[in-house]
Amino acid sequence: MSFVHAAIVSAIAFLVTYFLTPVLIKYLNKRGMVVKDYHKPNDKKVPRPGGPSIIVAIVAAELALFVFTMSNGILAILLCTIIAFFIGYIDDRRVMPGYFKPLALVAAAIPIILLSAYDFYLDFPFFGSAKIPLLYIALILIAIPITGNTANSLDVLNGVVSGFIAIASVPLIITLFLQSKMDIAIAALPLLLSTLAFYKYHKYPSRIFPGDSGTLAWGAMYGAIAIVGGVEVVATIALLPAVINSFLFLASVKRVPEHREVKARPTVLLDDYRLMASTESTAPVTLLRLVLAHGPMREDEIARSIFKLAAFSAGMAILTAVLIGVKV
Amino acid sequence: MRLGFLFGFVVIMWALIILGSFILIRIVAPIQLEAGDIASSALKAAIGVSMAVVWIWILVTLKNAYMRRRLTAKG
Repeated sequence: MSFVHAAIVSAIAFLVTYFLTPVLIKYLNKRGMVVKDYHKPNDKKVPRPGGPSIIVAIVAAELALFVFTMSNGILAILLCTIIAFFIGYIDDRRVMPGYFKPLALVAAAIPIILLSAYDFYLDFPFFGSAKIPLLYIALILIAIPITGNTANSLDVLNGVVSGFIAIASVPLIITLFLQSKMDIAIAALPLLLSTLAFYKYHKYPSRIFPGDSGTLAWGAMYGAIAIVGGVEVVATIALLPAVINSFLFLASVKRVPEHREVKARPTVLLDDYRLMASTESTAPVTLLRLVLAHGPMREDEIARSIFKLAAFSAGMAILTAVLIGVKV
Repeated sequence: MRLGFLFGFVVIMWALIILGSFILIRIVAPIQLEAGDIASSALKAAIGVSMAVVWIWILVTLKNAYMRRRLTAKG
């Protein structure tokens, strides 16, 4: 029966995103809801946000799964994702201060706590589990803003965030299946399938941007799956390149700014539309800037480099999942 | 190798997570002070925070060394 549920949920997530996104592109273009793609010639404009087609697909898929299973965990993942989407949508429509998204995303974590869709254990390779009853609740409230904003901070080039989340969700799904947590494993499939379907339109050259509504929904959903599924350590390792990006940025600017507030850019756009790492000492350090440290690259080449890093981390995450079963 | 540093950075972060889990689970968790549960928990929390500070310091040091070598040297 699990296989049938998995097939239905996957088909809904993929097909709804795949067929709804072109409709959304037309609608956004017609309404003039477009933004400049700064790395393209001729002042190219791209429709944004793609979040609505992503959230419709995820909600339809997760609701179907909830009807099959009546699982609190799936309901918690669904509510967390919906709240994160609306927070992102507000940021898509209005320029909000830098602290808005991290603070507001705490609300997205609350359904997980209210529905008790978690346990207090963190599973590590070799050394067993750590039980942290009170601290774990605080960790949930911190984790969803972190995963949401981490995904959001990756949305810097065409196709990067959708491709990255698709790759990072694979070890999550494999681990959940390995640990026989079938319902949550199936609940994670819409994350993979919606990002894959959206990637078709988001890859270089982008026909649509996900916007904050799309990236926050993906990031919060990723965090919620990790918590509800109890695969927090594996999820953290799969997300390491994105964590490095956020860490480097925050360590260099030493505050949580809205991206428009950052004056010195981490990269410089050359006349041939390749990107080069900024040599300004005041420019923030980001993953993108480090990828470009060896010399200028085209946007699609940079995306492929980031995907290689994501695949490497996904491999490390799967290794970690296997090692969790090994005790010394 | 263009991505060599970043692959290394990922491996170091992974190793720090594993090392941190060993310290927390095998060394810190069993600590039980005679002064009682609150004192024990406070000590464990202090060790946890200190470990996070050391973790961040190691990563920032690595990042700064690489930045000096690769980026600001060009400017």
